[in-house]
Amino acid sequence: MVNILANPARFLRLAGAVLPWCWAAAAVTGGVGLWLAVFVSPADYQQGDSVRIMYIHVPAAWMALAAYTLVAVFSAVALVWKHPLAHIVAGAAVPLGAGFTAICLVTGMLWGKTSWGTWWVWDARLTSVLVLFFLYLGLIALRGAFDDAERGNRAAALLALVGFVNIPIIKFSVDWWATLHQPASVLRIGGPAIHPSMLWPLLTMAVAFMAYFAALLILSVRAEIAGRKLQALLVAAGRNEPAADGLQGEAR
Amino acid sequence: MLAKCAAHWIATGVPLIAAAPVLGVMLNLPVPGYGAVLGALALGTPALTLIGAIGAALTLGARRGGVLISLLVLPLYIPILIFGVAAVDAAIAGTDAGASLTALAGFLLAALALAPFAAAAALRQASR
Repeated sequence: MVNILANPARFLRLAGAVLPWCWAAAAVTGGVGLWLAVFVSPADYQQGDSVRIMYIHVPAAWMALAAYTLVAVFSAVALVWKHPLAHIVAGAAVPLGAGFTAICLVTGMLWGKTSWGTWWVWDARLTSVLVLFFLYLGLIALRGAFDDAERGNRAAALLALVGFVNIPIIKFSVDWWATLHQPASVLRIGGPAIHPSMLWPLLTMAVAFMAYFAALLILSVRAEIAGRKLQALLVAAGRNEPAADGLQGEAR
Repeated sequence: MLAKCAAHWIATGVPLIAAAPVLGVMLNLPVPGYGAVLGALALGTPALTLIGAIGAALTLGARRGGVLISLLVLPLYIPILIFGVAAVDAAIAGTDAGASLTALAGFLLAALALAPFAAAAALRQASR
């Protein structure tokens, strides 16, 4: 499975075939999900309409965790089997995951202000998600911090594996420490503790976020591969022109 | 790796622990807090050193490595800071500081078991 997809040309063909379906799924489920969330689902009896923040906040949080898990898996694959494509996928997923984490934090603060009366507390869940956000930023910075791109890739892959200890901490933080953030109410033993009228819009939005993430990931992997091809072509072109050789050497 | 970390801790962590009671007096720390301060520092500072070792190994030879290492390592320090503060708070309030100290000890043991390997792997890939 890994070896089949490791060939960039084959990956690009497959990605090109999958991409329109991702966009279509994101548009349809996103449209339906937003309609359900804003117009169909009931307002909460305590929180009123502010409960609708959940339909953005929770899928964004799930995607933040899922994206990091994906980064960690691809980093492990890249370190063990040394597939360049795995580094590219991990590198492409990091900014997307950072974006979802930022959405999760911002909507969480807005929701916290309306229902808890505070923007921020140093609660275990909030803190661990903030740590996740900084891990994403660290991965972006570390990848770009070396003159040798390959070293940056390897260092970032290693940091991604180290940072993976944070993922179970985020997931179980609400069970281990009974602080302000509520415990899990969808993925829990004994079934969802949330009424179907709110659960279905939530799951629809989760599918939309997932499809949107997949589409963006494919786009940015394609852009990265195209960029590398361009780089290789430029280097090859520079080598064929003796006059430009000295300039090229100095520029690099 | 472990020896390097131990040396670093003796140079930074141990003086801090030794200075803590004096600083406590200067900052008017209530008497029940001293034991918790010493315990939290004794458990927390080696964990900080071990986590920092991973960051140092990863940023070896990086551009602006000094800024980068703080971005990488400071977020990972937050839980240790929180539990250390929680232990001292609990001791001052007269409740049990044991829970937070146990959590700190857990972080230390996990860091002791995992961080040397991570730092060694980072060094290996850096020297390749």
